[in-house]
Amino acid sequence: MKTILITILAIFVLNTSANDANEIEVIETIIADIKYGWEKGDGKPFRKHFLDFKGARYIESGGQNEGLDDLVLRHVEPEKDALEFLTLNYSSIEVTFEQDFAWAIANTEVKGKVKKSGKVFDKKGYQTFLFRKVDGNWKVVHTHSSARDKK
Amino acid sequence: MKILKITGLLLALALSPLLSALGDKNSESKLFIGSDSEPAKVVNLFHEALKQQNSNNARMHLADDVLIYEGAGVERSADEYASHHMLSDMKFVSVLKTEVLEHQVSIVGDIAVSNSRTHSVGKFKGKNIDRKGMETIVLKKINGVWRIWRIHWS
Repeated sequence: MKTILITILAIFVLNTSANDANEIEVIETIIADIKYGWEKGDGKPFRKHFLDFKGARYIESGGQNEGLDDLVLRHVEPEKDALEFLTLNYSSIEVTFEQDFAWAIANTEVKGKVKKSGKVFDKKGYQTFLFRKVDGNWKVVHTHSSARDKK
Repeated sequence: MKILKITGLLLALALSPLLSALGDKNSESKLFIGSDSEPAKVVNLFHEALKQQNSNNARMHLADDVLIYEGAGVERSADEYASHHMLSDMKFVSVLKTEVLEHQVSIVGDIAVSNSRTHSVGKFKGKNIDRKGMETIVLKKINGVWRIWRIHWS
């Protein structure tokens, strides 16, 4: 009887860990798509993975975009023309789940060159992503990025 | 006809402050959503405790496993924060005059997300401070009590 209980418990624990691992992979794939979107000035990954709702806020070092259209049309896509290049790297991604809510934080490194001024920026910091599971899909509901110049 | 036009004009002039006030109210309501909810109160009490340099009260609102990200630094528990940066944060915010420009709180089950933007002015260690702050806080209901679980400041 004891062996059966331990076996059932072990299967449950292994199954939960496997589910979490799959979910982490899904979140990491979304973050990779977002990286692509920023680097290419392409709004499609944002339209795909972000939950479009009234009151959404996306914060980036002192400023914010209000709503998905504002983020895509006034921030992501214009950067394609405003920057000569942009590289963005997310690393050490930590993800925590709480039922249908997920929180992720990543170390960020962002480097780019402004076409007009020729100014090069090279920063590092953190990015928070908040997700909600909607109709079985993880959707970004909020982001907060803070970065400082590399020393 | 002329009298009607004049009456209409006078009516419009009389109503314009009211309409303008309603407009202000609408834009204000977009900036402050859920700011009287329980999680919002916890966020406000936490800030109040920091401002009053009351470390026990500030610590009380943090989950033990809180993660706090600020700029390029991180603190990985309430005890770590309470014994390090909280002391300097309290000294800093206690001398500043801070206005909350907007605050939105949404609640889904036992999780709440609080976003706010502030403007702080004052003098700290001889330096004039005039800066905008952005805050993301995730709260979790633990044993029936809302606690601050994640903070990102910039």
